[in-house]
Amino acid sequence: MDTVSTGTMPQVTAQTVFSVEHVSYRYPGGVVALEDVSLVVRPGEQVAVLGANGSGKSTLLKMLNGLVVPTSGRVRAFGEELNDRTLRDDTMARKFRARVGFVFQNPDSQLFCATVRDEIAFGPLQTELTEEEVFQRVQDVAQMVGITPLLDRSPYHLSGGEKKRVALASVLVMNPDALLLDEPTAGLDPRSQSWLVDTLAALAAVGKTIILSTQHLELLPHMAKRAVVLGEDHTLQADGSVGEILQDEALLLRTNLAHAHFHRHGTTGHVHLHYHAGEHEHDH
Amino acid sequence: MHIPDGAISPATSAAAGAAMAPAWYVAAGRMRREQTTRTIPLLSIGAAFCFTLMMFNIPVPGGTTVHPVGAVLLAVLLGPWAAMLGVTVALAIQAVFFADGGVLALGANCFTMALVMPFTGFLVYRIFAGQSAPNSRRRIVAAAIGAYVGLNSAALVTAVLLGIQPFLFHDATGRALYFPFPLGVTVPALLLPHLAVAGVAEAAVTGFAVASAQRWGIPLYGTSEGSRATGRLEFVWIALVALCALAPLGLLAKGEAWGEWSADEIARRAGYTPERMAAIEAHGWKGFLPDYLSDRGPLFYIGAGLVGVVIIIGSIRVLWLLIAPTTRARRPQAPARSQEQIPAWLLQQPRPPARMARVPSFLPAGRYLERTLAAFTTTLRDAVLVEEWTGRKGLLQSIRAEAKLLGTVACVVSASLLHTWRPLVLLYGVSVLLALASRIPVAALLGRVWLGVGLFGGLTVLPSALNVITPGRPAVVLHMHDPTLTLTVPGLIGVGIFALRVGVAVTFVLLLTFTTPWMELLASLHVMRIPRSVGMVLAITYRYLAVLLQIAAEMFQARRSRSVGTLPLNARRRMLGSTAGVLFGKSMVLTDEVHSAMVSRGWRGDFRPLHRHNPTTVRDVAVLALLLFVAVGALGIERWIP
Repeated sequence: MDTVSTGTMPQVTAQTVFSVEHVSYRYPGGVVALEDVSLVVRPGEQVAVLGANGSGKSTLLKMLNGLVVPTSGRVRAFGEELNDRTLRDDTMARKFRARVGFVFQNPDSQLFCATVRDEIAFGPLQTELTEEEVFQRVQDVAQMVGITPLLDRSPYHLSGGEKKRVALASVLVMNPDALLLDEPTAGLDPRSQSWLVDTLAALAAVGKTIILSTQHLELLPHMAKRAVVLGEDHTLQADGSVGEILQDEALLLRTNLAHAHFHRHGTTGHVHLHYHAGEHEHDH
Repeated sequence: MHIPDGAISPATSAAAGAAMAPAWYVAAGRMRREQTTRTIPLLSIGAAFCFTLMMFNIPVPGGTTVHPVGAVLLAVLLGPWAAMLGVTVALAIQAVFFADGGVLALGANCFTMALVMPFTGFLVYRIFAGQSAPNSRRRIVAAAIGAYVGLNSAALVTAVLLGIQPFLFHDATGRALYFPFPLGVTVPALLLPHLAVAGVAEAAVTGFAVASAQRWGIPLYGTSEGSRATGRLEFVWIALVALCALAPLGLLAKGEAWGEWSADEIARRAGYTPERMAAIEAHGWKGFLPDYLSDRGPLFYIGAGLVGVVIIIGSIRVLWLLIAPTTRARRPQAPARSQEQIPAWLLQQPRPPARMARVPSFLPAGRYLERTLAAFTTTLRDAVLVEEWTGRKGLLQSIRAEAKLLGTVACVVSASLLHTWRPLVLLYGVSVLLALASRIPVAALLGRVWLGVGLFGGLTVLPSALNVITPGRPAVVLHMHDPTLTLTVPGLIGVGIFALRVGVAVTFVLLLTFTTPWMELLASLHVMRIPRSVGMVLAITYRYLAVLLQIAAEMFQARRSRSVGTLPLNARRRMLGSTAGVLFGKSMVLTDEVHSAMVSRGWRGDFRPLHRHNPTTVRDVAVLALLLFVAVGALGIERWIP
């Protein structure tokens, strides 16, 4: 349980981006998604949420975005509590939405507009930016993620990788302080994955707080510095540096993040996971 | 079950629409009170789901098809009022999409599918459900029974609306008749397949969907849950609203089957139909064509075209104005972000453009389910092709959408008011010249227009050229001896004028849609005083239609890849029902996700569209003036030049 370090009672300061305090969540049917999770995220941190399928990663991220309200416990963002009451306040909601961006796992649920341009403009149009400013921002961010030629196309015709870029652009255009990404590398080909990793690194370099969920342990060292692990019992199993977490094979096995053929080698924390069954040799 | 254009008199449709008005009013009041930020995404995705459901045409003996509607399911989940509004919205979207058929009959179709079906179905459901627990099995059964009764009630009312047409002529108005068969024919012809097949499918889909809703903790309408669940209730609410609305859409896409069923199939059965038609004729069917072409009728008879769209949108607009919350959301606060940070984004080097869009794959034609889906995928691909034409450099492409929209409306109204061939040919010539100037392949345009008009409109009105309806010099003799059956010269001229009129209207509408990107067209609706939120509902629906269709196609492919040999018909029908149910579940999950995604990006229920800065040019004004001139000029020619 305390292989690395368990979540201790968080110290909330003005410098805190998110603080999660003894949060539990149950679906309406009573199924548990999160159990007594505590966590503090400070500005500029890059945190990965790890866990097997169904361990509550998505729920945790949605909670940080105020889309899901805990059954018990408290979630605070920038010192303000997130709940149904505070988010109903227009000023609070708009401030919060502008400061925190959320990239959904399924781009089809995120891309609801008829063209890519409308999609990216959707967020800023909810603010008080003038149309010229919005237009300029859309151009800028489209160029940044390399989708300028796609601006007038329908999201229906885009590939998975292109959709992910558009989804990211539609969030970056708000220039959020904190980015939440649910399984950002899932379903991407290697080139798109490395593009995403580079982009996240650039964003981290300018001081954005990044929280992402992932099962791609091999990409983990490139995407985050800190990792928190959710167990299959929906509790927080560990919270530590990515290096520490990846060295803790017992933890990874226990939380079903790796199976018996987990190998670690290299000097830079470079990690390979092997999912194939049976005996095998390899000589990386 | 939907009534195609021309099958009932405009007066019947108007009366049905008038009957709808108070119901719409009450429903709008309820919507306004309960409207939330979930309204728009729910309406949109519900509409897309319903549309997809309608595509599941089921063949029945006699060469026609029936399909489930889903209105009772909406009523069970969202309440009958919301279901009613959903059906209404869907009908409007249908018209906007296809711009052909069902436009004139909207009032009647709303009456049957938006009013009769959800309310009778819901009533039956309530009776059977009683005070049972929200998660009880009894509610599933009750919903299925309600769906069965609701669908058949709607079918019965449809049959009555069609069947009373021959008898309406006893009215002193002398208004023309449209549908030749009396109740004795329409009731069994419509009701039997619905009782035997469609009702069962409807019940299965509804029961399955309600069971799924229970499993996922989505509360049914009228069952109280905790406050958190209420949030979901609101969301399910409107999703289903839109579902029913799209019901007639699927049929329009397959209008051919319906047209065959409604007139020609029966008309061709010698010895049976002619007698009945003769009987109808004795009640005054002779006046059909002359009256049809009179100044009174055409005012209502605005054909399958943009004017129909405008009528529908007009009613939607009224609906929406009533629905829209009276208190506007507060002005958004300036975000705490400062713009100096923007350059930080550009630290990243621009990337090369990514690869081209993938071409949608087509299903092999073979079985009716796949065929239906494949047919619709083709329609979608057509929409893509159309988008290609919008990018060409041509006259109409360079014109503001607003100018084109107004000019097109004028020409369509003009065409629908004309009843001689010369001005119609003039209008048609103008439309062809515009197509040439806009680099639209004229052959493609002609093909689309006349294939559609010929199959859909022509075959439906062809019976009116029979001597029993329009007497006159025989042109083609079908049956020599008693009773004599011929196509008459005046009858054929009447049919020709009708086809020409519809063809002109459809050509103008197609020109508009071919040369205007869908988004711009939606945005231009504001010149017709349509609220922007309506445009957004349409846009989101358009988008998710594609997603749901993709899912449906993949589900069928997946099933096919796992099944060996040919399934018996009833197994395929079962599969159809469960697929529709699963699709429903997926669309509900998607609805929730989309809503979350919108909220996550700061959406508070207020919509502000991205406005394209297109200054109005002399050319815009000139083209609009030209179109208005031609529209008015055509009427003038008919009025003053003999």
